[in-house]
Amino acid sequence: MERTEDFTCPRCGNSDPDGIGIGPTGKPYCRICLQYDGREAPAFTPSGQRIQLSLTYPLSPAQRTVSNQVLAAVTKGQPVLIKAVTGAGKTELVYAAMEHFLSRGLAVGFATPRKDVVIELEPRIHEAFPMATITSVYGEHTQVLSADIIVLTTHQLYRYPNYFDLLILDEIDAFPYAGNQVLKHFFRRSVKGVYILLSATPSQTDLEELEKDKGAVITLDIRYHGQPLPVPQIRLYGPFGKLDIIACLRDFLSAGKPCFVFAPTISRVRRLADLLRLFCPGGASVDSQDPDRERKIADFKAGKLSYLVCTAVLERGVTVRDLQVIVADADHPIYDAAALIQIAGRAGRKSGYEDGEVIFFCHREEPWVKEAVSTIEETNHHAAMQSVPKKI
Amino acid sequence: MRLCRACLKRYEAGTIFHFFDMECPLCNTCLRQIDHRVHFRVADGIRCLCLGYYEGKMKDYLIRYKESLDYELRTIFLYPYATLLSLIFAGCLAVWAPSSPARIKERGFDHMEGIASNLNLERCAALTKPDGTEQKEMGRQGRLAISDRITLNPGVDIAGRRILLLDDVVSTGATLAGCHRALLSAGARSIFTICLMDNDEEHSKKHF
Ligand SMILES: [Zn+2]
Ligand SMILES: [Zn+2]
Repeated sequence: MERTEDFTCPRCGNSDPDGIGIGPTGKPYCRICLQYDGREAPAFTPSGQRIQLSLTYPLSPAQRTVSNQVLAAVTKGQPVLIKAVTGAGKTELVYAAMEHFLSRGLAVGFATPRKDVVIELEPRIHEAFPMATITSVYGEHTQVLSADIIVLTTHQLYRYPNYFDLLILDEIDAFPYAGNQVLKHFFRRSVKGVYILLSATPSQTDLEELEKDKGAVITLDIRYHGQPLPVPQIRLYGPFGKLDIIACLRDFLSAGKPCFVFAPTISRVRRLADLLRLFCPGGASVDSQDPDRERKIADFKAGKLSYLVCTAVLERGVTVRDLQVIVADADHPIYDAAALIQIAGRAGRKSGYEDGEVIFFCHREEPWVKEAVSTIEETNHHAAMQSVPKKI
Repeated sequence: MRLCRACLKRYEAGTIFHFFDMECPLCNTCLRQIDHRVHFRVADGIRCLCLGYYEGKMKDYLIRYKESLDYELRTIFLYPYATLLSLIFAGCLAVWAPSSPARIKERGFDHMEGIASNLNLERCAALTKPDGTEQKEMGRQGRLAISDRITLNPGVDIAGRRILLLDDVVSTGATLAGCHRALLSAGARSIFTICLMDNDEEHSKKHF
């Protein structure tokens, strides 16, 4: 019998004995990358179309500057980390670089940890590159693996070894990518040329690894519509606890504003939704185990639902007009400052509706709650210093 | 620090299970995921004891075990009932619902045998079914027809034995009915049926 200590997984490079099991024949096997088992993409062949970027809206001056910097770096083969706050219009920053590679018939991928984001991004990117073929690859949606542009979850990267001439990785600090060595391994393995990372809150390790690759950090501090991020209000629960949330939600709804209510865990989402339903009709709850999740999110976007109670799964990538945000129990240890900032960035995402309010309900003012608020104030201060025209 | 067999995390022993059972395969978090809604269900005329429902984390682990072939997971599904069941059913012969030979070859192991091996009972791969009768590929009608195609393996003698029959998931109960028919016609004295997870349509309707 071979020893698990001496075994290194040929697929994902795992050699930690804790992640190695003994199979039925007594041979060791890797338990870490088991779930990444499926068809690999065929070799890349460009569609041969002349691909051009056609944006129907202009970039802000700040976006243009960053976009040019990114393009200059990747054409030299230098990897880039774009540090941009939520709502800064991050996706648009990489379009110029994508166009550069696409027009040369090279493989371009856009990866993100979350399925919801993939679903939302695909039509947006297609709109920007109408001539290119595009496919999205995630979870149960893996029928078409090749196209000019592949939008995919980080889980699906294992299908593309040494494939992408340009690979963009959005939300590097999001679950489940953050801290997942296997996904990181597959990400690195699938980059043939150069990569671009997007993040609002890169970790120290992210920055160190980029350093090793001699990559550049490019920062964009302004939100797309040139407005500062809404500064969250911290409210402590009164003697009647959750009733404060009801009062706050009713205010938003009577003003006709859609609202997200975040709760830390699935069971709390369900309990809170049951309570809110009694006082505020017209809402729904969504969680990651909900089979109706996609339909409910679509209904909410279409205005058929007036509020959604959800966990942090919705915290990224869903944009709705004039959105207000309530966080129940922001002092729950499941959150950290980075997560709360992301959540706050949900509010008022579309131009013309930037007065979104963000309210953190807490039992106590924990340090990470205060840190989130002070970071947002600081970012806004920076943004104001950059003195960019308010509207385009 | 112990290693959790399911989530692969290291953990500090912290529950009564860890105190009494040095071999406990699960960490505190995973222990809490076990569905303890033990209940009887009658499916296709067969009364079977279900240890929980086919949902949640344990469903994910069962799929990882059967489909992603994570063989190490075989110890977690009967936990913590294995010891108790071994005492109650002492003297019984443990038999399980069969997979087709092609499926067993493809997996490299018989997943139900792996689960049954946690019981301190005499075991026997008594039953078999022909290739091409995997449930996934068949509709409800097809499933009902399978029940006639489960047969006793040649050379197996279970005449007069008390049988403990195991299956992983019970949906329509057709498989169990087929097993019962084959075992009874081979002269089994009695059969007690245990399923790990109940995939009852009525139950899931209630939830959504
Ligand atoms: Zn591996
Ligand atoms: Zn565990």
